[in-house]
Amino acid sequence: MLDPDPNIHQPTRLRIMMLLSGVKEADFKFLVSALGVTNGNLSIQAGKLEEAGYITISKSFQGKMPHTRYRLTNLGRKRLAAYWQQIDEIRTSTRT
Amino acid sequence: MKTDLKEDAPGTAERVREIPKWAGRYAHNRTLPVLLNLGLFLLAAAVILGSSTLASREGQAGHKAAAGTLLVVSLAASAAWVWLVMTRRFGRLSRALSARLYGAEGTAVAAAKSCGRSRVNRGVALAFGLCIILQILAGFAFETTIRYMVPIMAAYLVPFLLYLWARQGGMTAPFMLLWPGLMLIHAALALAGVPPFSDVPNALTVLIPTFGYGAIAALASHAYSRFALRRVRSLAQSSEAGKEEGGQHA
Repeated sequence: MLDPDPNIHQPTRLRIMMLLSGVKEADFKFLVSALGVTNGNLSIQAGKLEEAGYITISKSFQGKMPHTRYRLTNLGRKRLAAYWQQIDEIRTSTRT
Repeated sequence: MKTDLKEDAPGTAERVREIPKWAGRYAHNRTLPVLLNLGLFLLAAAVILGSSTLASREGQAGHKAAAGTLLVVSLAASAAWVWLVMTRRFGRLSRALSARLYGAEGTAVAAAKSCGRSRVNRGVALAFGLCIILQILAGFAFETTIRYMVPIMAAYLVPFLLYLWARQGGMTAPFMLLWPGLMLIHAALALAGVPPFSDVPNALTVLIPTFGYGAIAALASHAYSRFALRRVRSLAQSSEAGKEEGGQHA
């Protein structure tokens, strides 16, 4: 059986994807406070998801403050669904 | 590969799967901007209703010039308000204030199903504004008694609020349905002859149900968003998150 998608399987990345799948978009501050991770950690993990094409990252300014917004892509949504399907299959197979 | 979903943490997968649901509920219940907008609406209503009430008094006292001026002020304020609400500036102002109100917890925008129907939305907003102006004019022309003011207002405000709710795919906080619900009950009671606010000035008889019920609904929704946020945080904060691949827990 294939291993689950390594881009999603890391706990922080999985939770970023799950948070973004419930909303249209979220900003950096929300993700940091919801996940309880450091700024650096979120940047690294979100960057990897962006490289994989699973999320988009838009940077702008609110006044003089930088504002970074994250959004799940259609590909990310599909891969997330496939990931959960695979996890279910793995869990079912380990039980039997 | 390291995971916290397979067998090392019973129930973890189920908890992670709950995240989108609670994130969505949190985003949909961020109603502080609604309270803020209600405050701005109340201010506009105070100007519009205040000037129209004064116009009526001046008219009854025989001061036609003063009554005419105040009526023009009332209509101009109504038109200005409708214009302000329909332009994108109001939306931008509302978003900026919202970002300030939720500064510490960041922004999560709720998924909406029908963002593209801007023409329909503008048409509905225009119709709503016209209804307000028509009600004010009808109040002058037919001397509508205060008993029918709330039922008349409910006749267009309730469908408008339901449209706003449905526009977001019916996913907005169910608490916001308290607003049209309470308004309908109030209107029905008023038609039945029950005076819900008998000892308050006439203007407040209209303003209390219009804005008060909205504020009650928005506050209930906001309280629920606090609960949803705590739930999102408890579900999303994993002991495993951040320990891998460059993770640096503070």
